[in-house]
Amino acid sequence: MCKDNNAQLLVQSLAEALETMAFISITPLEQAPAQLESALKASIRFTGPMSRSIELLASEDFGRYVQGNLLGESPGESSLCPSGQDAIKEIINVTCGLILRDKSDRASYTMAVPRIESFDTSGWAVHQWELLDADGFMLAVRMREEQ
Amino acid sequence: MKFNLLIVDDSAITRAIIKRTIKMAELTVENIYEAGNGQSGLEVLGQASVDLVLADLNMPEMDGFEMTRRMLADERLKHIPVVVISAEPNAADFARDVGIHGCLSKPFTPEAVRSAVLQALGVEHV
Repeated sequence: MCKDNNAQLLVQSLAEALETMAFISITPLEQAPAQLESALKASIRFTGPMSRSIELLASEDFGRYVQGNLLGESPGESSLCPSGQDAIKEIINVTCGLILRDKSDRASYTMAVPRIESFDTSGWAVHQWELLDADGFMLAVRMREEQ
Repeated sequence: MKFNLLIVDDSAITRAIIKRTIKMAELTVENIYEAGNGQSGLEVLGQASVDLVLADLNMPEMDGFEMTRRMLADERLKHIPVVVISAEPNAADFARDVGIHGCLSKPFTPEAVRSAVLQALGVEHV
């Protein structure tokens, strides 16, 4: 599977996860921002015949927006996770499952637990990421080969 | 028919999503119990009358597989159907191997939840 196919599969799977779970649509971002504001990085690793990490950059505001949609509440209304980090972790978890689901050798794959951390924006290399617009929020995603 | 449901998942937001989806699916639930892992789930099952368990597979302390194995080995619990809810691509295969009654893949719709619950309970509607 070449890099472009992986990127395409990743974006399709993320779109399906957001649309089905949170009624959020994504479109390619036409113009990359010159600078990335503070962001969270959610990541999940899968291992098997092909081992990769999926990474998603999003703001805390997006996390709260997703959580609001997931639970049918206004953003920030829920006391479950005020930062919305758990919502982003759930989205990347489901995205990873969708990527692997159609593989004929899916039984050979194992998914790790999703992680989330602050992302250091100082060294952000925009060309390494797929940039997306999700209801007005900027997202960046990529799939990386496991080191 | 009203039924009692136990949701076993280590993610509070996932439990909340499942509860919301159950409401959207117009299933008539009497009580919804929650547990954060398989061990806590077994403790709930020892104390409450539960008709159906919806369980994640990957959880800390005790996962969904082990919880189901222990339920199947317990005369008081082995009749309670278990439906796995997971994003894992091989969840359905594992579920079949262990003897779990059903598998719901994430992302799920209210219709899929309703169908899986009714099938697991062996009824046409609740």
